[in-house]
Amino acid sequence: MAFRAAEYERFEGDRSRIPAWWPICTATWRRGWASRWVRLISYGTLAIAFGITALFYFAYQVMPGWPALLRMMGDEGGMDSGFPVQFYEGLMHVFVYPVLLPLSLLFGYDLVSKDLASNALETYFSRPVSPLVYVVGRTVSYVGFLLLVTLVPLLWIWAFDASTGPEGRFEEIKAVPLALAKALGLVTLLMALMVQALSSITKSGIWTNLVFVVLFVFSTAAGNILYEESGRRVETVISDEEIADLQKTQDRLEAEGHDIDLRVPESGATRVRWGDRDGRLLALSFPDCISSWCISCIEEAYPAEVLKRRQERRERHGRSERVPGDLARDVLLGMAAISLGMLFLRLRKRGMVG
Amino acid sequence: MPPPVLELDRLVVRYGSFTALADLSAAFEGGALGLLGPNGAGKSTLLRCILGLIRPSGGSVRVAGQDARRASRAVRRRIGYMPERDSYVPGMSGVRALAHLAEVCGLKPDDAMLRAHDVLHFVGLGEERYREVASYSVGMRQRWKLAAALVHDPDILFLDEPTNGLDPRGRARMLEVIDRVRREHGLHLILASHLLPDVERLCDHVWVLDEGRMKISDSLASLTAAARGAKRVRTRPEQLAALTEAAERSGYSVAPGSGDSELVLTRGEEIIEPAAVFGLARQCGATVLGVRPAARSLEDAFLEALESH
Repeated sequence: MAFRAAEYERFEGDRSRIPAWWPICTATWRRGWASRWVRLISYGTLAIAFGITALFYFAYQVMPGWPALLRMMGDEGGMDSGFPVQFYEGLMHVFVYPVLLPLSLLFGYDLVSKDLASNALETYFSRPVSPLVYVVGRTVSYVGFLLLVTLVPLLWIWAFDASTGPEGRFEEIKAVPLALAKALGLVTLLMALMVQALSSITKSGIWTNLVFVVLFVFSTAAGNILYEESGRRVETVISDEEIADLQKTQDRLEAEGHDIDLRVPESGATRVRWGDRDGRLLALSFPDCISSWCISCIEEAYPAEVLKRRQERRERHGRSERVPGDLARDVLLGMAAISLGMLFLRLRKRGMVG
Repeated sequence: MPPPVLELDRLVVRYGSFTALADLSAAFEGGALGLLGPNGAGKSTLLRCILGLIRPSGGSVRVAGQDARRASRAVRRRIGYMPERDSYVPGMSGVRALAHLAEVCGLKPDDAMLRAHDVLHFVGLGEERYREVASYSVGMRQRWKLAAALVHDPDILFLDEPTNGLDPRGRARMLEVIDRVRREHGLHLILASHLLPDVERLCDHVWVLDEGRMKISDSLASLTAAARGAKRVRTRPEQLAALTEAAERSGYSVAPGSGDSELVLTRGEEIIEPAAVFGLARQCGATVLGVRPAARSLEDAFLEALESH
């Protein structure tokens, strides 16, 4: 067919073997990338990644004693000595909350609602595209993009850290990439399906955002209120070892001339606290589930003794602090399944597929 | 011999207790088929069955020999569908959206883009191809939808009310484009329309649906053949009975015409000559005041079909 032919001609070229979901995937990518905010946040994540690698470079090459200093400070402050992994735990949260969640909305808040408004589904489904192909195309693109702006920068940081860090650094953090991929894989899948499902039941992208924010706030509030309500007053005897430790510190302070009273309790004294909260109730809050799932994944990369210390600390404070990892995973998977079901129902109904 | 383009075999579609299509059996060998029927007749349901989007409660639909449900992807690849409602891929220019739809149907990206440009030029949207489809006027959107139906080079075009919302010039242009594609490139056409002149202009076969049942499945030529040969005869009111009797004796079918002095004569597909009418009048001593073609249109046939059951 000649370019700009005014006549209709039959197509005589070869057909491609590319599956139908692939063009939908690339079109979704283009649609998402067209948003200025999406581009801005994406570049922001790259900037964060490069900034952190620059810090690593400074720490490892220019001031090699700095990591040891940090670790010592961490130990002094009662933090875990599994510091290198803990760094990734914190970093992952930075990439999940300020990056992944807003970006999920910005990327796909009007993805399905606009297709519904313009009857694009009728156009798609009258072609060799089923609702499944449509969802696969959209979701692969969605998840791929979210992983690209979260997991890839994290892996870049990890690779830099592992390759330029001090002796033994790779051994310490070798399990981190898998943990990151596992954590972010489920979270991005959930967000992609959830935002699409919300987008399929709302009239416009603005409503999708509103419904998501309402869900976020209500879910967080409900989970945390019930969690706090589940606590009770607990009175425990302070151990002699703890009293002895405290007394030792008090003596040291006095010997150094400090006028500080640590109020060392007498033997047999009790401590009253509000505790024994039920962390499972936090499962009502999906943001808490996301956080717990990420932490439980990254915990797999911690040394066993660090994990044990973390557990002891939680027990000492009488609070589980977070949703158990398995429960968080089940809740997130359940939400993803419900979102997928909802999305399919809407697509079949609005796309006239019976 | 190739299989029929469209074959319905005892097709039944039910929505709960409501029967949308009842035991439809018909075959369309190829060419151009006009799908007619009042609102709620089952045209859209039939369309969705053809596209393999809904599962029949009974019977089957075969498109070019393939089961529309089991081989729905292969069937849909061969069909170019132009929906009645506005329907476009949002957030893309006309040409980008068209190329995207062609890619979905299996064209390589470069071929898809090239063909999108060509088809847009063909339907007269060449100058507007970089505008977003959402910004097109009603007429432009109709043309874009036709381009979307053609872009992947289908064998069968299914057009649902293609001239809706078009001004007379736009309508004529649209019909001309469809006619050219059909005649010059051998595409089969299935046209659902309320505008019977459009069907008369483009189609050579007609299915009339009403309340989910097939009322007429016939060629346009056969439907209007009797009408073309029939004559309206005007005589004196007092001589109408005698002329009717003489005509029936000679094997004509007689139907009342307008007023009390007119009758309509038909005899199979025979074209009745005025001389034969005068012969009849001579036999019974009647005076013929006028003879003219009965001029039954598709509309007459359509209305008769709906009223006859």
